[in-house]
Amino acid sequence: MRSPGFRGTTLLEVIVAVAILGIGLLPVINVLTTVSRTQRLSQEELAATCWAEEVIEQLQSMPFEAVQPCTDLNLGGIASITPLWPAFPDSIVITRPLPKDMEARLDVFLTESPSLKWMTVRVFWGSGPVHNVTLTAFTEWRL
Amino acid sequence: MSLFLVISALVIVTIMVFSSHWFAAQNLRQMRSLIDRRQSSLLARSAIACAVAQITDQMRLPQSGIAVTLQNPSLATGTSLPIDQAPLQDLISLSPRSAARVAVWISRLEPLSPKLLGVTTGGADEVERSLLLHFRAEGDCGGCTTVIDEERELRVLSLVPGVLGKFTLFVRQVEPNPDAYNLFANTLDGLPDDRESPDTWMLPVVFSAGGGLDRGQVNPDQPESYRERGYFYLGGGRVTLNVTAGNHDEFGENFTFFQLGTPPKQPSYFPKNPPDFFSPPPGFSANRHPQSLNGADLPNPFAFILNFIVAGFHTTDANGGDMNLQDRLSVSFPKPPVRCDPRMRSSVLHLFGSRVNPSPALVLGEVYRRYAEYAGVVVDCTGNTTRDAILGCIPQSNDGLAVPALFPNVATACVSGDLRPGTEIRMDENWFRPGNIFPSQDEYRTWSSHLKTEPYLQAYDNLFFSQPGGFGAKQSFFGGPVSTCDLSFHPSLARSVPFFQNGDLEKLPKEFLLGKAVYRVRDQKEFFRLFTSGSDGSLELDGAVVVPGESAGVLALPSPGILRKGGILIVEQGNVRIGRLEPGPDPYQMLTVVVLDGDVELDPAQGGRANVYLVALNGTVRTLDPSRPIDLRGGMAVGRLAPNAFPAGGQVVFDSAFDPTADSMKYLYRAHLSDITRTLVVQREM
Repeated sequence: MRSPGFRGTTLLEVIVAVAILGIGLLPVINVLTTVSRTQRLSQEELAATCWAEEVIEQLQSMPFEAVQPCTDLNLGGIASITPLWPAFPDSIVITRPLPKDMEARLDVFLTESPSLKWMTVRVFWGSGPVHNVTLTAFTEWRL
Repeated sequence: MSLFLVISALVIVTIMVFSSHWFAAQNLRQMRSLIDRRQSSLLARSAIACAVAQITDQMRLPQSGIAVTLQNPSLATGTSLPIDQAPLQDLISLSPRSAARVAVWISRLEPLSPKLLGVTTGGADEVERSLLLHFRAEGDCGGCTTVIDEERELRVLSLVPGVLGKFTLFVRQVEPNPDAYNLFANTLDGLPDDRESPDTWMLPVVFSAGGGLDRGQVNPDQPESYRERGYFYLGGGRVTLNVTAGNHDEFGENFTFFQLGTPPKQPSYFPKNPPDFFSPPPGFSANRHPQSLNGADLPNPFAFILNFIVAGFHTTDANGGDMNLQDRLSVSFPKPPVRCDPRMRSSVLHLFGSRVNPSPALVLGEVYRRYAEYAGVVVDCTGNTTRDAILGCIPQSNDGLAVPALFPNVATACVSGDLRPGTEIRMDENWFRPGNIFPSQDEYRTWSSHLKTEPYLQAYDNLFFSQPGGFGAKQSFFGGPVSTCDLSFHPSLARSVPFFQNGDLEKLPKEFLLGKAVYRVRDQKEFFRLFTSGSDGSLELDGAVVVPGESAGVLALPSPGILRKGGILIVEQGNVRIGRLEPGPDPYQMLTVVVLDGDVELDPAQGGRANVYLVALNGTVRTLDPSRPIDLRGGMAVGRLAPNAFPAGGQVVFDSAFDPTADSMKYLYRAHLSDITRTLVVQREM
């Protein structure tokens, strides 16, 4: 039973309210989308960083001679036990599989020092804007 | 009302969404921070790698700041190493908002082998030390800083065997019989005697002590020409080495009695051809006397000349007991003298090289050389110093002037004189009495034939440093004064190598070189896997590597092998077999093989030279194939050396790169950093 003073909600009011809600939610949705994308990106960056660091650590623990100079060496199939450089059986890197849609490249440069090599691991992903993580480090000669 | 509800809902949703956004942003910042921390950690670790590489590299460059610092004998705790930061700037150029730097200083310093540093052994190199290095590396990335404090042991080591590397041949203990090494049966000409039984046939090992020898330009006071030469040490007991007579290019040792740097004729200096058989003795006052001549075809007057010959060691019996050639010597010989063809047994160790490649060096210890000097009277009919006839040798005698006549007055012209061979030369009757030739009994004793046994050290005097007060002994190489091996070093030698003086090398423990070890493999298999290459037999050590004991095993190095990276291979137990080992392209890559409890086996079957220094202070070096000569470039330091160790002889050429007094020594220090670290990592965010 309705109260005597209650006259109901007109269709117009509902339409206006929905419109206001809709307009108000637009930036909210936008923010939610951004938040979601940012979180995904940061997780991807972390995963890429961890993966690249793992590769670098394994390269650093390889025999110095086994780390050969290279440019843009595709590390996509790195989870297998195939040596990176076939002439050096010790040049095996075993890591977790590279996350989906990611690619990785390795550059190894000689330096002026015969006991030092410069390594760069680049991991990149994304179909639209390409995201990437680049880690650089030295590896030194050991007996 | 509904509008109010909508707006309220909207506000609530907005607050929740922006809270979520804030949390997401925080999360993102943390993720980024995590990434920055990892990158800064990588940078800090790379900075340490950069410093390690610089230390390793610069130790090979004697002029570099790090090498100068670490090779300074007065190095002190707290000293910083000059590390170049430029490579780090290159590294961070790829990472925006990042930085890296590293500093290294010495936090502890001690001699590598404290027990060996005393004067009792004199074997330790004070540049070789164990240091504790403190690395402080900082890596910055996006405001996150990682500081790594790391301590690692650094060993500064040379790739050569220290004081032992100064010796072409070092034998700690030789055979007790002083004549044990006189096994080379040879003829008067220095050739192997083919009358010797094949079972006892022995050829000499010819040693070359290294260094250059400019026959025409040697300055006796020039220690540099003597400096980078390997010495000889044949234990503390008495050793007598018979000098091989004759002028044989390879085996004759007469050349050791002539001086360098003097005109080629008087006295001769290593002529390829034999020296004048009778050259005038310097300072002899009665060497020429005119004679009347009764032969119508000869000039008148003519002269006889008393001259001198050094003919080495002779024996007329198989066991070497008689040294009386032509009955001219009178000491300790059987009576009546044995009449037979002269035979000789001389040393199987030829310490001064060969006539075509003479090699004077210092011989330490109580080592004597024995040889016979024969004085003769010759006839020179024309006065042009050409020997026209040999009257005979002047016999040894304590009472020579009492002898009525030395020779008959008739001689026969010999080959290579001015007269037709066989021509009879008749001189004054009864003139050849010793009293007519020698002014006194002392002169007779001095110039008559006699057997000499003298310290081998005098041989180098004849070759190089005979000037009194010149390059000579002032300090004892060994602990106390020993009459025949007192020796010291010229200040220019001693200045940069203080460890080389004094001490008793006989007290060197067999583990002397074990303190240099920087890597220990589990077994031989691991050694070959890590330090050799199967494809071309390359050896790549670059440090001192220890292979544990296998008492029954033999570690056979690749043969033929190539030495790419030198070092010291220390085998704890068992023998090491070495065949052909060629040097690599780098002249300062040398290999030292040390056997602590075992022997070194040389395998000359494949021919070619073994470029290696051999150390077996508790064992010996022997050949696996007695029918082939050995060929070694390096040197050997052994506990004992059997006289018949190398029946086919061979050659040992000292490699002066092993010489701890050589200028090249500064190229041979290496820095080895331990893999074991004590690390403290601190990370902070700004």
